[in-house]
Order: sequence, then C-alpha cells, then structure tokens
Amino acid sequence: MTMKIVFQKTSGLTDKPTHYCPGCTHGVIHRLVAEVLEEMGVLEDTVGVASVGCSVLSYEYFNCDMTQAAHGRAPAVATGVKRVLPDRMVFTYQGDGDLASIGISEVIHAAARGENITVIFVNNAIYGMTGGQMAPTSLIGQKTATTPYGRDVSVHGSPIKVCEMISVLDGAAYIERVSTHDVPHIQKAKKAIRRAFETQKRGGGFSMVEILSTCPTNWGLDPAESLEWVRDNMVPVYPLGVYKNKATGNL
Amino acid sequence: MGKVLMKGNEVIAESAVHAGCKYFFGYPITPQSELVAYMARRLPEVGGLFLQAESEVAAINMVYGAASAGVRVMTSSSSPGFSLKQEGISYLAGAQLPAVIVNIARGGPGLGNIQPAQSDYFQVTKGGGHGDYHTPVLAPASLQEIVDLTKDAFDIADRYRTPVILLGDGMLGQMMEPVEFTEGTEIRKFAKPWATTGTLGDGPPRTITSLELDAESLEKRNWDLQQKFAVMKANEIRYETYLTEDADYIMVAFGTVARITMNAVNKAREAGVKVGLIRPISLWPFPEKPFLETRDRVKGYISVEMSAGQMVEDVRLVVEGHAQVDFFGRTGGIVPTQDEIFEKIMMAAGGVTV
Amino acid sequence: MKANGKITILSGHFGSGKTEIAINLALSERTKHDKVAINDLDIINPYYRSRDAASVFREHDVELIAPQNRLASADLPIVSGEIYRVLHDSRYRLIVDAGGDKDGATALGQYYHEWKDMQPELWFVLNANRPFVSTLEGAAYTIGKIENASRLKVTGIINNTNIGLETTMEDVWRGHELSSLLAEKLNIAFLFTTIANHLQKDACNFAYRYEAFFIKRYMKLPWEG
Repeated sequence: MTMKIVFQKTSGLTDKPTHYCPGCTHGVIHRLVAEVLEEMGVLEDTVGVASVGCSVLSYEYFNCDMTQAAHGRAPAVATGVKRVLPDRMVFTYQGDGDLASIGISEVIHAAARGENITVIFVNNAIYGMTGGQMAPTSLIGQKTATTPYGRDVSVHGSPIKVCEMISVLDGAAYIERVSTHDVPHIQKAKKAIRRAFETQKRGGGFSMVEILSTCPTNWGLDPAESLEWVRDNMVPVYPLGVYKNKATGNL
Repeated sequence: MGKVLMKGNEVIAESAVHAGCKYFFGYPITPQSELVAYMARRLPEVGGLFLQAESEVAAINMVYGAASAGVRVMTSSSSPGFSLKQEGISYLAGAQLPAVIVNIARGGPGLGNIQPAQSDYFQVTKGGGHGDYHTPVLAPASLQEIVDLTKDAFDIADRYRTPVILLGDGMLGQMMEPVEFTEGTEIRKFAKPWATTGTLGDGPPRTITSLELDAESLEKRNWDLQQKFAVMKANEIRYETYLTEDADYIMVAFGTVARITMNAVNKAREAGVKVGLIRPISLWPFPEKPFLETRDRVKGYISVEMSAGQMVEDVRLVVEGHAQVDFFGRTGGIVPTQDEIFEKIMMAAGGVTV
Repeated sequence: MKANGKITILSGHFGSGKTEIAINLALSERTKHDKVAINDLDIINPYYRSRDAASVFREHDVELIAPQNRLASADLPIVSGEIYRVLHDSRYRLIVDAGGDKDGATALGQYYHEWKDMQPELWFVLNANRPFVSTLEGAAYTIGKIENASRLKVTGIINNTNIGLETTMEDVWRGHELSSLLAEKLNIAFLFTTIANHLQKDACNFAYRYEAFFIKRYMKLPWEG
C-alpha cells in the first residue's frame, strides 16, 4: 500500500521548536510566511527582520538570514537592508506593541517612502512579552494589566486602525487585513501574504498584511475561546479585507 | 588632485566617500547639516545611496540594517541628535556591527545652542548607551586630519566589528581649510561572512542579534566584547605630544581646542615657562602612555576643554595622584581664548614655589 | 572696490568667500558714502557670517542689518525687516551678503518686487578651489540655480580663488582663467579679482595687468593671529 503525503513541514522553518504558548497563532503565522517564501522559491534570497515582543526569537525559526531590530525600528532596519540589497526579499515580522506604538513612526515613513519591503503585522490587541499591558490596538473596554477597569476612550483614546491609516499613503502598494480565527481565514491569510511578497517581488512598493491573532495567556481564555474572541470582538473593530492594491487599482 | 578649500563637514563626507562608504542615512541638525547636504549631492555620483530618514532614531536603525547587509555605512548628527542615536549605537555594539557615526557637537544639555562644544566627551567615551560597551572615538583637530581619521574609522569599524565615533565640535564642522585627498589609495576590504545578505544557497542562514536570553551565554558574550576592547586598547591608541620632553607643566586638549592651546603653549615658552601639550586623538581608548611617562617628573597637568570638565577625569585616572591635575574650560558655546589659556599656565607656573 | 549702484548683492556658491568681500566692500563704500548698510541674509551658515563682524561695522559706522543679540546666533533662518527702511531711504548704499548656493539665494526672492526697479547688482563670487564649482560647467550650473532662486540676473563675476593661508598666485591665476571663461560663456561682466592682503607682494604682476583688490580677512579662527 502506498501512502500519500498529505502534510509535511515547510523548509521555510528551522527544526527549532517554537516557544509560543498553546493556542497562540504566532506559530500558524510563522508557517504561513515560511510556506509562502518556500513556494515562491525565494528563501535563499530573503532577509528577515525580527522585532521586539513575543516574536523576538522569530530569527531562530525562519530558515533564512535574519537580523534582529530594536523595539519598533524593524522597518528602518529593513530599509537599510533593502537599500543595500534591492534584489533581495526583505520582510519585517512585528507585533502590535512594536509596530503600532513605539514603532508607528518607522512604519508610516517606510510606507510613505514606498519602501519595497513586506511588513507582517501581528495584531493581538495586547502586549504579550511584557505581561498583558494595553496596546494601541486594545479594544475599548478591554481589561489589561494597565487598564484594570477597561480601556476608557476618555483616558486612553481609541484603538489605532493601522491598515486604514497606512492605506491612505501614496507609497503603500498592498495593504490587507486578515484573521487566523478559523481554517478558511487562515487560508485567506496565506493568500494575502503571498500577494504582499509578490508585490515586493515585482518592485511594487510597500506591502503590509495585518493578521488578527490570539493571546490566550494574557487574555485568560483557552485556545478555542481565544479564536472566538478574535471573531466576535476583534473582527468587528478591525474589518477584514484588502485596503489597498495598487496592482488592481483598488486604492 | 591638488588641494581644495573645504568646510569640515564636507571633508568628513568626502573622506567617507574616499574610504569606500557608499551609504549614508541622515537627518539635518545644525551645525552638521552641510555633511548631510554634501552626501545627498555626492553619493549618487559614485553609485551610492543617500537617504534622509524621518528621525535620528530611524537613521541609526537604517545604518544597522545596511551594516548587517555588509557595507560601509555612515550617519552623522550633532549633540541632541546624537543622543537619539544612542540606543541604536548600543545595539550596533551588542550585535557587533561596523558603522561610523559622526558627532559635530554643540552646546548642551538639552537643546542648548548651536555653538561649538566638547561636552559630549562623557557620552562618547564611556559607552553612552545602555550596557557594558565602549566605542572607539577619534577626534581630529584639523581638516587634513579628518581625511586620515575618517579612513581609520572605517577600517577600525570593519576590523573589530564595532561602531566608531568621529567627534568634532561645531567649529571643526564649519571652518574652512585646504585639504588634499590622495586619489587611488587602496580601500581595505574586510571579509564579512557574518553579514545577512540572503544565503543565496551558500551555507546555513545567519543571524544578527544582540539578544542572549541565557545569562551564562550573555556573560560569555560580554567577556568576549571586553576582550575585543582590550585588543583595541592595545592597537588603536592615537595621540600627539608637543614639547613634553622637558616640560614642567603639560596641557591636555583635544580637537580644535588643542590648536588654541598649542598657541598658548608657544607663548608661555616665550615667557620662559617649560610647558608642553598632550593631544589625545583617540579619546577612547584614552592614551595613557604619555601620562605614565611624564607623571613622575612634571609639576602638573592642565586639561583645557570646551566643557565643565570631562576629559580631566580620565587624566586624573591615569595620573593617579602622581602630579597635580588642573582644569580650565569654557562652556555654552564659548571658545576658550589663547590669552585665557596662557594666563592659566602662568598662574600655575607662578603659583608653585621651588 | 566700488559698488556700481545703490544695491549690491553678494552671492556665490557655498564657501566662496562672499562674506569677507561683503565686509571689505561695505567698509570701502563707507569711505565714499555717509550711510552704508550691510544686510546679513545668510540663512545657511550657523557661524562665520557678517554679523560676527559686528564690532568692525560699529567701529567704521556701517549699519549692520541682521538678527540681533541672542537671535544672532540662533538656529533660526530669519531675516531682519529693517532692510525695507534702508531700501527706501535714498541716502543709503546697501550691501547684501546672501547665503551660499541656490539655498542661500532663495532668501533673496522675497525682495524681488521691492527692488526689481532699483537695478540691484547681483555679483557672483567664485572660488575655483571649491568642490562643485572648479569646472566651467559646475560654476555655470550654480549661477543658473542662483538666478532662478533670486529671480535676478547675475550682473558681475568676482574671482576670489584662494585656499586660505596657503594661497599662491597660481590659485589666483587659475581662478582668473575660469572666471574669464565663465564670463564669456554666460555673457556676464568679469568685474575684478580679490586677493588676500598677505599676497600683496606676489600679486604685483597680476594687479598690474588686471583689476584686483586686496582684502583683509575678518573671519578668523581662534588660533589664527
């Protein structure tokens, strides 16, 4: 009897087991990015930039050259790499604290310059690494370590909607928000990541995929509840879809 | 190519181009903006890239990216902007990435003013950012010396995989002097197998990081760094002495202040006072030798600085109480005059009874 | 050195030596006219500007128009409004010291309507030992940019080719040649050559054949005598 291979590990990831908590979707997103790089045949031409946050060790998992940036500065580091090596595939992998808070300036200006890089933006509405504090993307009313009474608009302001904000910049070429809360959405997420890297490959300009993600540990929910929380609470605040695609004229 | 008349800031930029630096990420700040403008015009001529960053913070991180991709890269700023780059410099030191960072210092603290100052001495020589590290610091006193030291800065950066600081004050950046560039001098090439350029199928993926979660591993990495600093201390000390052989008093000054001080030394010699000058060129590693050689025979040292007294601490550390260590300084953008320094020498000389 | 009219604007590439010439010209004009003002319009350089020679102007009774006191050394690209008073007072001769290159000349553009009917002279100072203007093309390019930015035509070229204290007559001659070519190419008058005082002896032969003025240096570094 011959066995059919229905699943195998992507060569885009190293053999190192990840440190992510059970139910955290970082692992899934790592695999999607790695699979896309493998399927496009560009792993050996890729330089990734790791950020600061729960994914700080992503450089140990992606099976390509990686450099690790200071908190929030990954798009600036990626700019330096890409300007020196314009024919390489350059991506950043950043969370919402890194990208939307301390690094908001770097990502906006990289997009405004039309920097030909791809930003993988993992949004789970909380600071994971430092222990569950409020992120710029935390939802109104969301209880965190630094919003024990819930995020209050009059005190903390409203969540930053990064895709909406970036997509108005002329330099942004491909901007999409996806989610990881079920299999069909994960499949959609992979397609978005592929389109972002393809945008870069043809020199299209700045591409970013925002991926709604979970944090069971800091949310205090089990993995299944976490996915439901993304679906029921995050998706309504952060509508999914393509915010910009210069290639199809979707501006 | 014969001599040309240039501004200090332009000379730094052109020297970097001559040293094979083709990448510059900058942000304007007085009094070093000419350097940025010169690079913007010059680098495209040599097939290089100039990019104006959105902030000093972004600029130094772009430098980090370019350095990790294996090229010679520079950024420049002045005191307040240099402070902003300090986080990135700590990361460069931690990740062992070569780069040259220019500080054309101005009056501080805070926004201060745009006049020349040397009050960033502590910041550049003692590490400046977080963590146990030092960066080599070179302090030219003339525009011709900038040509040599800029080249040295890039070589040191590549040889030791370290950020190197080129320190001047606003006067050095703004003044004009004739300079000559030697054409066709060989640019030293250093192999950079560690650079993250994409594996291109040649060997396993590489990682550049300053993160080390395991305490014992980080301690080992830190001792390795210290070992590297020890080698730099052995090999990269630069200084100049002037009339120190028979001197009773030795002045200590760096950069432009050393030139003013040298005039005061000459004037004091004419007045019969045996005085000399030590001019540290590498501020870190600090030149200890000329002090160790003289501290048991001179009556005293006087450090002259455009600060409230910073390098004087390093002088005291090396003199170790063997001789009097005195200080004269002006701050806030006031440049000490030759006459003031002369007076200080005469007071010291007159105040000692034989 | 003599101005040709009420308004003389000194322009040039960055680091051409405009300021020294402006100071010398202002002092020279003051020996012929009762009221002379020098307007420091240098928004490019943070130091070594004509305002740094304030005491010289006081001593010679030349009016300095520039940001005053603490603003004189501020990191602010500001110009003084006093220029309007002087422009419309027929007793004054005015020397304008503009910042270098087109960026410095841009600050001249704001006065276009004010002085366009007063036949302002716009002089271009050339130091052929400076980067970017050591060739005919480079110098001509810079003049074009300055004319665009100032909305005025350059009316005269001054050869100020030097290399600081190390200047030799060779430099002066080379600058003279480039200035002549430049003047011919652009059909602009080549006015004269300026030479530092210390070269007076060596320059005999040159000064005999061509119009030359010896100038004193006022912008000195603290270690220069």
